[in-house]
Amino acid sequence: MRQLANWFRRKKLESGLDRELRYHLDRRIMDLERAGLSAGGARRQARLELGGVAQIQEDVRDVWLARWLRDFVYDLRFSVRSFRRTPAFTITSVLSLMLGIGATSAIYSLVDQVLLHALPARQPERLVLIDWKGDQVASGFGSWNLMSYPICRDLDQQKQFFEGVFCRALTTINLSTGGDSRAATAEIVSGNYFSVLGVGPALGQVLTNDDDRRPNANPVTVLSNDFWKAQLGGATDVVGRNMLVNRHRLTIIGVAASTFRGIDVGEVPSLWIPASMSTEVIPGFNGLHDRRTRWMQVLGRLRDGMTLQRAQAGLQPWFKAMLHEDMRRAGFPVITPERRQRFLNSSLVLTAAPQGHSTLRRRLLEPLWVLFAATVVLLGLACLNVSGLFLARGSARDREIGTRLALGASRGRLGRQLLATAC
Amino acid sequence: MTSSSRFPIPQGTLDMLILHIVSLQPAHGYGIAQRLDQISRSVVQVNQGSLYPALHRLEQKGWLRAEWKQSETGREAKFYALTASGRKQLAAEKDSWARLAGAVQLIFSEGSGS
Repeated sequence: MRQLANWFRRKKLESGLDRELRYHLDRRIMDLERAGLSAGGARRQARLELGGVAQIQEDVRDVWLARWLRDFVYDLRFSVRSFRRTPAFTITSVLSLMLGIGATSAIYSLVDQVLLHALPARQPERLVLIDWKGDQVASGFGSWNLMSYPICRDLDQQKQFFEGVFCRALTTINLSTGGDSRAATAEIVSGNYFSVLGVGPALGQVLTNDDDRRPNANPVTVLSNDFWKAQLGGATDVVGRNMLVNRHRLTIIGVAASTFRGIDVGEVPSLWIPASMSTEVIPGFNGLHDRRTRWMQVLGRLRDGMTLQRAQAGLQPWFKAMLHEDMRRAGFPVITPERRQRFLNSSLVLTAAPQGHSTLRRRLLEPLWVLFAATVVLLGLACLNVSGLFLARGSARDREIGTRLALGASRGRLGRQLLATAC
Repeated sequence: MTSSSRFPIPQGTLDMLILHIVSLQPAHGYGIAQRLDQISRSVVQVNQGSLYPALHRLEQKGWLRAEWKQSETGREAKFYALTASGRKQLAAEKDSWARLAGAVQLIFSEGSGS
């Protein structure tokens, strides 16, 4: 760093060194004259003793700024000058590279966010998504891989396979902190959501199973870090404050860790509400304990050492038993024999979900990769284009390089100069 | 000045000698060259061309501090003075030099003793 700073005050350094060396020579000449040498002899002798002034200057410059760095700076200035001389060439290369690099990095950041980014949870590779394949004989809303809250709780009991199974549903709520109210995204979650994901609080505490035991008994909520910062200015005294969610009062008990932004890409919930409060906060909803209302997405964390295949196979006997038991329950709808067969033939499907789950991802998986591949090809074409331009220019510089070689420039030095252009 | 009985200065010791001379009192480049010559009774030959790069290197490392001051002849000269970290460096180098010289001596005396 200090060396680079020297580059910018090199004029001052140079003149200082000049004065210093001149002083040395003059003093030596004076002393030698005093010792009896003629003026001319003293001058010659002094110069002989000191050695070549130009050489000393070069050596001292090497101290100020390492030789290779100095050469590099000179080369850079040279290439900037030559680029300025040929603006058409420069603009063409810059534009092609800009296009290639810009498109690639834009698409890559999308691919990274949507496809590659693992959840900021503890050991995300052990997270699985649990789907019901078959007919659930249930009413509900949302996409096909949803289940009812009681079934999720039953799955949570399968401790030989799972460390825990939680469920969640995104919903839009009407939120009011003070006077004004606005729409916000809330995630209705089972009480073990945070503990199974391994996400802690940034402030206060997160939801626990205790917040999800008795219906409507725990009017509490946890804020997402983004919401807390953007809407509440990151105030440290939010814990204990009340908010109105669909006109029901909820108490803020904490703020989630800043790295955690929900498990869906592109959908960061503003707050988390325990499922026990769902009847209160979702207008007209009364299906929390109904086994035949499917509305929640179910995710689990495999036990240490448990593989996805073993868990999936091991779950089926319990699952079949549950289906038969469900069918004998009071209130099970009357259905045709064919439908009953489809119901009984249902199975559970586990999918690795280290990146959480989102419909966005499922929809974009293929198009995104295709798009990414296309932009990589585009970048390759841009590079090809630019290298062609450089090649053409290089052959035009034949004579210049020949002259440089003839003047004694080494091949390595010339190579470095050309490489500096590439920088 | 061209006597063949003079040794070229051992590599790596020039810095130490410069630091030592400057530690006695601030000096300019020419003064340092003269002092080196005098103190070593002209036994050690300092290539004056390597003196200035060394001075600038030591200054860059922060062991020397330079200042333009009036010299004995009335002209302005660049005077070098030892900094606190330079003093520490000098002590360290002197110590390691003494240990090396002692060790070499030990090896020689062992050889002649047996």
